Amino acid sequence: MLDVIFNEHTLKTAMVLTIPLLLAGMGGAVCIKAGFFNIALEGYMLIGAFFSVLGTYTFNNSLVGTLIAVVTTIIYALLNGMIVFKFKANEIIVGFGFNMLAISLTGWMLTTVIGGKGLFYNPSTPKLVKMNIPLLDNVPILGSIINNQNIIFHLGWIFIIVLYVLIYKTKLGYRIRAMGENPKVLKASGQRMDFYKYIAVAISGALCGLAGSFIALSDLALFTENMIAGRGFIAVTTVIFSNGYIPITALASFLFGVAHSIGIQLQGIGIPSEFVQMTPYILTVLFLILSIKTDSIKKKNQKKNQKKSLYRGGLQLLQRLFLQ
Amino acid sequence: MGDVMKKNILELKNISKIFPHPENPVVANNKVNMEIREGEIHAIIGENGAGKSTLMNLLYGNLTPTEGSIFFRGEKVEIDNPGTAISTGIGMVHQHFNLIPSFTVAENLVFGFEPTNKCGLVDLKRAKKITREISEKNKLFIDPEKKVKDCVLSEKQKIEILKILFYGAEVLIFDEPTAVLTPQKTKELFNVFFELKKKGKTIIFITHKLKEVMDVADRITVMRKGEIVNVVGKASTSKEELASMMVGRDIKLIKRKIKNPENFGKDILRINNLSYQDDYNIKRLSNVSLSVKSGEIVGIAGVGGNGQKELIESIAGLNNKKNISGSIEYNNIDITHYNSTKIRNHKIGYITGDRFSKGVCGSSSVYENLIMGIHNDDAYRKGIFINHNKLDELTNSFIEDYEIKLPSKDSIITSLSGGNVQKCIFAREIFNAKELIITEEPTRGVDIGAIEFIHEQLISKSKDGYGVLLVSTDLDEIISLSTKILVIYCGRIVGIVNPEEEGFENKIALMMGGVESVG
Amino acid sequence: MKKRGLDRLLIALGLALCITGIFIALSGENPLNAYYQLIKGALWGRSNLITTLRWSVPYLIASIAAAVSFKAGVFNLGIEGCVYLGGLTAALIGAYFQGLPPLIHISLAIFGAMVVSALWLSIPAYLKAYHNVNEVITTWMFTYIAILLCQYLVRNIFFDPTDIGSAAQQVRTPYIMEAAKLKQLFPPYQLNFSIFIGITLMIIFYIFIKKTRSGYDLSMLGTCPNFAKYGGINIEKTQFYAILVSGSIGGILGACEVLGVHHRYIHGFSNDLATLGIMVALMGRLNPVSMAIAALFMGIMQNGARAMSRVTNVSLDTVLIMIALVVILISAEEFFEIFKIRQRVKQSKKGES
Repeated sequence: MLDVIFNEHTLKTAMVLTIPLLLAGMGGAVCIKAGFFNIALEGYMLIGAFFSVLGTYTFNNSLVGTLIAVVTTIIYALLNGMIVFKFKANEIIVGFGFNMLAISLTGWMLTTVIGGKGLFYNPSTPKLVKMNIPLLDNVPILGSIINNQNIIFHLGWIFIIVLYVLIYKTKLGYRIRAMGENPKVLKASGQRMDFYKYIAVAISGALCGLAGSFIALSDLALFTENMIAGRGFIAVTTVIFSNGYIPITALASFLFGVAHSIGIQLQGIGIPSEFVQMTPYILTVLFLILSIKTDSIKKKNQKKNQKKSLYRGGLQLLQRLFLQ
Repeated sequence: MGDVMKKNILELKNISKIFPHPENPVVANNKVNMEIREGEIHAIIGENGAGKSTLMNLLYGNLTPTEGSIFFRGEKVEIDNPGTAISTGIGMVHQHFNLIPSFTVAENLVFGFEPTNKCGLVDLKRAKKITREISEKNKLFIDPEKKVKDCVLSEKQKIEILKILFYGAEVLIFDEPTAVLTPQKTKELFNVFFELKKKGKTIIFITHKLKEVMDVADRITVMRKGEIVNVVGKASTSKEELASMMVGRDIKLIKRKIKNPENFGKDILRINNLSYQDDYNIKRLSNVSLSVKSGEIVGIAGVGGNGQKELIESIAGLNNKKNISGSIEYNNIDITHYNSTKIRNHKIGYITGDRFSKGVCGSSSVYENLIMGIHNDDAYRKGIFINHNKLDELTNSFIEDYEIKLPSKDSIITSLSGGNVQKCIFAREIFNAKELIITEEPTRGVDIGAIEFIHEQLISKSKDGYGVLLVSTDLDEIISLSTKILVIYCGRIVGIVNPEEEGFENKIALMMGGVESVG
Repeated sequence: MKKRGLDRLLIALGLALCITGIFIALSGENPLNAYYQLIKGALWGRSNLITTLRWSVPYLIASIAAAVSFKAGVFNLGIEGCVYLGGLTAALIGAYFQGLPPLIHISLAIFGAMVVSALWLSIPAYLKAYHNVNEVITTWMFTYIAILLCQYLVRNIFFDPTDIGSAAQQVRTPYIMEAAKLKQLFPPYQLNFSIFIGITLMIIFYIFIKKTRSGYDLSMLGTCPNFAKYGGINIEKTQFYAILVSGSIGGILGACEVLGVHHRYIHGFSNDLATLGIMVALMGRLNPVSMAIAALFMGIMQNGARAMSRVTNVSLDTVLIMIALVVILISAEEFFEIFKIRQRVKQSKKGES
């Protein structure tokens, strides 16, 4: 029975399911590094999904559609940012509002602009092209999994490195992190402050736009109401768990993807679907409980480290004395 | 040393800073004229409220002057934000360091002006090199790769100094730099000062510790109540003289408002060897012992930041109790580890100095603010309900007795003036208190009429048999009200003075400046 | 204070109406006509008015559930889960107990709903109060888990036997006993006895906040946590019970919907009642009277939107857009600074004398 669950197909499904969580989660991570707890990722993804289908349909090109999705979601995210940063609104309540606004806006556009009833589907709309890269066939195990995926799939994994470099190795990243940890430093050295928060929020918009496009355009170029199905909130939990540290955010997203995928396999062998569907949420709560424990362990370690370094310092001093 | 002909690197001409307010405008600096010579170490001393910090904030661009001008090397400069100050060549080492905890020393140093490599990424190697160079050049040794959150406070201070040197500061301003340093680290810091002086840098530092001043400074400016009192060279003065200048020669003119009674009653509050370490592992209180008897007003004098806040908060149950050693007893009950709820239940009146963050709720009405704590009293409740009728009467009596001026009891408390807000806190807390009142900065920012009133209240309560612990950085207040004065310095009680004794004023001044200590 | 709350609501509402009006115009309709149809559909005529009230009641109860916790500064997003759990509990008690007089049967069902809901949220409540674990996520996750749990239980254990084999197999429990039903006030309309429960809850909430000691503690904790701590309020206990009470009122809501409207548990019966309830609470600035007005407003929107969409080309989502805009605008503090400054100047002028 174990190989029903742990096989290539499961891994492939897991990696595909991870992508939206990964992209949205990294967007949320960048925001929290800038000091902004963004719970509107769900809404952003929905906007992205809608406009990706609309754009693809209009221009008959899935890449153009994706681009339009990214641009609109960035605008949406910046509006969210403006209300929180400029008008000093509570970020959770406003995030909530933007989630609801996304649902109602896309719903309105669906019925009014497109005339669809609950969904927007036109079989002639091109979906994202699956790219065949012959080079990948030579890679053992992973090769067949990663090959024949669309571009956003690849972007997702590549972006882990790109965003890591952006946040930890570029000037922009340093300023963003400074805003999150101690904005006074920016003030004291005479620099712009909110600007970096806006950049962070725009990045999260772009990533969520990609995530939404991926969800909508991967299998069928289709938009349905509530197609994000809470994945934006799962992404928020990966952000909380990882505290915005991109590699851990990515890892957490992947774990959720795996759990989701295994869950689907388990459904096939008769375990009630509800318990399977519950696993991400239960996992999240467990993650959060775990983080209390790790917090207190961290604090204990800090004190230990201080003692260790004193000890080491003492040794070094003795060495210097005696070796002279 | 040939510094007779040294030019002035900084000149402040006729600088005034007034903080506007409808009733009580605060004149923080009043027509200050100051000259700082290039290459000197210049100390600015004074009590709380003397205007030292405001002046430095003007130099660094955190504030702009209401009047007057600043000249740097003879040229007029408009410093309206820290960026301008930095580009002019003025750097400030803040008391609460402006550092990013998760960054390394090197990353913090170059922040804002990070070197980049060919790919456009931050060049950490070069950053580390720069850090090492500046560090060695100025003999401020520190590991560039260490993360700031792992650094101790003296290291963090070093980083701040290196930072402003990196920015090209010619004038370095320090605000109470030794507040968080051990004597050993203080010595190291002063060596740094001397090194910097050798390199031609100018140092201005604010302090209230007179021994330090005599160890390090070339010239000293004494400020009091927003004005310059005197400027002296080290050679021509002494700690004692500085102490008396700092505290004011008219101490003898302060009128006493209370006469010490013959006897005092029982011990209401007893503190034994109280020590407290804060979350950053700095010792804020060291073996503090004191007692407050019925009928006493025990005044704790000292420049702010010497442990007063920690002392009061420890008694009030607001501190992290894990870091306390020693004992606090209230009427022979050990309250050392009580939290704020339990302390309240024991009816200890606590008038806080943090008016708007703790003392009142800014967005609530006056009535709602007045009833806090009283609403749980047996007399003012009916089971789970609050007896609003009785509280209405009570709050009306507060308003009448304390002459609180307000539009109505339902108006938001922020619509009252500072003095009236303080009266509200007073009325409530004195009512809440059964035998002991502890208060910090009771009349800060309060108009004269209200000050008089509040003082009368404290005196009358002591006559009724209450014990009062009065912590204040306003020496006038301490001297006029206390039956006994303790001076706190660096978390220790360095002396006890009887204000009805001859010559007590000299002792106090010296103790506050850390010059003298008894026991 | 109340006056200020209503001021803001009106300004935010006005702006939202304008922006939504643009959307309506884009749909090809005259906004004024659309709003007219909405109000007419909600308030004109006996049946419309009764249906509007029917919708206002659950929003009122949901808003009280949200307000109890939000007023303490705790963002409890677990109310929706409690609606489902409470509804299921009430449905089961209503269906499986026989021969009880109505008063006892209904009271038992509601009480059961309250207890189950409170127990359910006790874990996130404990985590928040005593370990400072972010309650936004824990309670939201518990909602999802609760809904799935109910779905599982009903699908596999508590399903309606008469459903087996039928073409439209829904996830629902058997009908409750007659005695357990909350009577309709104006049959055949769905407005039922729960309106009195709602009004009673509102009165209790009002009294709680204004007149009781715990209510005072709760309000102060939410407005000024430092002041509360300094004043001796037990923060952990207050936060803990805030979440529990909030959840149990959510349970009452679920029970009312089940006992009064559907007479059984049908999966999906809530349709975001709790979430909209949170919006109502925020719109009413957490004040009982303003919330009642906001709940009525929401009922008008809900009912009127349907009428409006029947008569015009305007879709139901338009009304949701407006509500989302109101929520977003109303919490934008500095947006209202312009108006605040005027107030302060007035008050300080008064204070001089």
